[in-house]
Amino acid sequence: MNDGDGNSVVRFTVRALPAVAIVLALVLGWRALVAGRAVLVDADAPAVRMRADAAPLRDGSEAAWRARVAQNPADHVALVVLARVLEQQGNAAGARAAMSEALRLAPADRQALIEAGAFHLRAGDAAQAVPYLRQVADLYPEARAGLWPAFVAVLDGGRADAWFAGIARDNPDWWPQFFDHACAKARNAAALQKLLGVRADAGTAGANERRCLIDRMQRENQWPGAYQAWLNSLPAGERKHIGYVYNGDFELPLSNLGFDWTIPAQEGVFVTTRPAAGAGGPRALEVEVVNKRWSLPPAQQYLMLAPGRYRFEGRGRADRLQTWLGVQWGLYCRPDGTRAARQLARSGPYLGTSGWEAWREDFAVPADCPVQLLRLELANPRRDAVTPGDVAARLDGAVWFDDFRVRSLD
Amino acid sequence: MNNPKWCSPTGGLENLMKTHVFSLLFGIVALLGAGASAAQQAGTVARLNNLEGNVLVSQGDAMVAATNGQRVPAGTRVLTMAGAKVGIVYDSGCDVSLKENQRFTVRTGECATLLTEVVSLGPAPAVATGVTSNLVVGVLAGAGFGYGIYEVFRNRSVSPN
Repeated sequence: MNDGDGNSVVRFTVRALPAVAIVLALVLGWRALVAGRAVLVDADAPAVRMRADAAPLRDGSEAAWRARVAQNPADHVALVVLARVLEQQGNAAGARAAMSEALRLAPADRQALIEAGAFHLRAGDAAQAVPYLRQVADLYPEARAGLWPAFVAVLDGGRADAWFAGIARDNPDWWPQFFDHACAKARNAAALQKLLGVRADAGTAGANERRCLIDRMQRENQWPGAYQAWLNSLPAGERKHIGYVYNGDFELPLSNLGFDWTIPAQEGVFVTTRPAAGAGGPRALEVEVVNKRWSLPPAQQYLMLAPGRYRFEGRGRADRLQTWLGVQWGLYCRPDGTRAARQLARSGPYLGTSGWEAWREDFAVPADCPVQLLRLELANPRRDAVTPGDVAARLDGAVWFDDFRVRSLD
Repeated sequence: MNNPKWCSPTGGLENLMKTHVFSLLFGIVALLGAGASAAQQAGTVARLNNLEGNVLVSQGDAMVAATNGQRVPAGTRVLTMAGAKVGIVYDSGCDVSLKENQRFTVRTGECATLLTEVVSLGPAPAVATGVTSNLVVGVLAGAGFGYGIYEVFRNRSVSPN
C-alpha cells in the first residue's frame, strides 16, 4: 500500500464519522421517545388489562368514535365502528341506531352492509340480516364466495325460508354459484328441496341444480325424497303423466338426471334419440357401439315401483350388432351395501339384425325392494340365469329400443 | 184475435207430446246416469276432494294428474307434489288429508290405521336452531368483519382522534 492510498482512507474516515454520529443520535433519540411513551402506557396498564378482560375494545372507544362522528356526521365508517362498540357494550338499541344511520349514509357500502348483516345475525334476526347480505352479493361479485358459508348457515337454520324462496324466484345471476355451494355444504337437504321446488314453479330450475341435489339425495340413500324432489322439479308440462318408466317412448330429450334415463359417457358408445322407421312415435332410442369392449351399461334408469305385480314391456331392433352374446334389458332391485342386485325381469337378447320385436314379462316387486334399476346389459348366454353376462365381449353395431312400459297388474 | 200460444186449439196436444217426450228422455238419461254411476262406483272405495295443485294417482303404467271428485279404487297410490293438497274421503266416512309432498296408498281398513299410513316425502317444516345462528355469526364475524374492516380502513385514517 502506498502513501496516497493511506491518505484516502483517513480522509474518508474523517468525513464519515459525522454522518455516523448523526444516525446514532437519531436512533438514540427515537429509542428515548419510544421508551417515554412506554412508560406512559405502562402507567395505565393494569386498568387497561382489567377492562380488556371484560370486553375486547378499549374503554373510551365509544367517546372517541362519538367524537369522530360529531366532527363529521356523514362519516359512515365511524358509525359502523361505533355500532360495533355499542353492541359490545350491550347497548343494542344504540348499536342499531348507529348502524341504521351508517346505512342511511352509505346504503351501498360493502362493509356497512356486511356489518349490518352480521349485526342482525348476532342479534338472532336472520330475516333482517339476509337482505343486507343479498345486497352485498348483488353489488360485489368479488365478495360472493365469502358470503356463501353464511347463507348456507342461515339456510340450515331454517330462519329465512321466505327470503330464500324470494331470491330463488328472483333468479339473480349469482344463484347457480350459491346453489352449487349450498348443494355441497348445506346439511338441510329439505331446505334445498324447497328451493328447488320454488325454482321449478318459477320455471327457473336449471339442470345442474336439479342434478346436484337429486344426485346428492340418491347418494345419501334418501330415495323417496330424491324422487319427490325430481317430480317437483320437472317442467310443468311433464308433471301430468309420469310413467313408471319415465320417458319410455323416448319422445323427450334425455335429461341424464334423477329418475330419467342416465347415459354415462363412454368412448365408442353413442346413445341418442332420433326418428326410426317402425318406431311407436317420432323418436326411438339408438345405442350404437363402435368396436368397443363392453364395460358398463350405456343407458339406465332408476324406478320407484311400489310392491306389487307388474308387466314389463318394450320393443327393440338390432341393426348389424356384432356380438356373440347380444344385449338385453335387465330390471333389478337396486343393490345396496348388504345385498347384490336381484333380477326382477329382463328382455330377450338382441344381436345381429332383426325387425322390431316386442317383449312382455310379468314380475313382482317385493316389499324389500323400494328402488329398482333398469339397465341395458350384456345378455347372459344361459337364458335361465338371473344375472347379466359377465364375460369379456366386444360389440360393434347398433340396437334400437322404444315403447318401454311397466304396467301395474294389481 | 191474437190468441196466446198456450190457448191455440192445437197447442194443448203439442204440449202434451212434448211433455211425454221430455219425460221419456229424462227417464232414459236418468237410467243411463244411474247405470254409469253404478259402474263408476264399482270397485272404488273413496273419492278425492278439496284437491289443490298437482296431485298424482297411479293408473295403469303411470302416475297421472288427478281431478277433484275422482273416485279411486283400493290399491291406488295418491301423491301430492309441492304446494298441493287433497282429501281422500272413503265411502265408509273416513277422511284422510294429504298435505304437500305426501303419499298414501288407498286401501280399506280401520280409519285410525289409515290415518297413520300417510308418508311424508319432501321437506318438512324447518326447525330453527341456535347452533346455526352461532355458526353464522362466527362465519361473518371472522370472514366479514375482519376482512371488511381491513377493506374499509386500508386507505383511511382509522383513529377516531
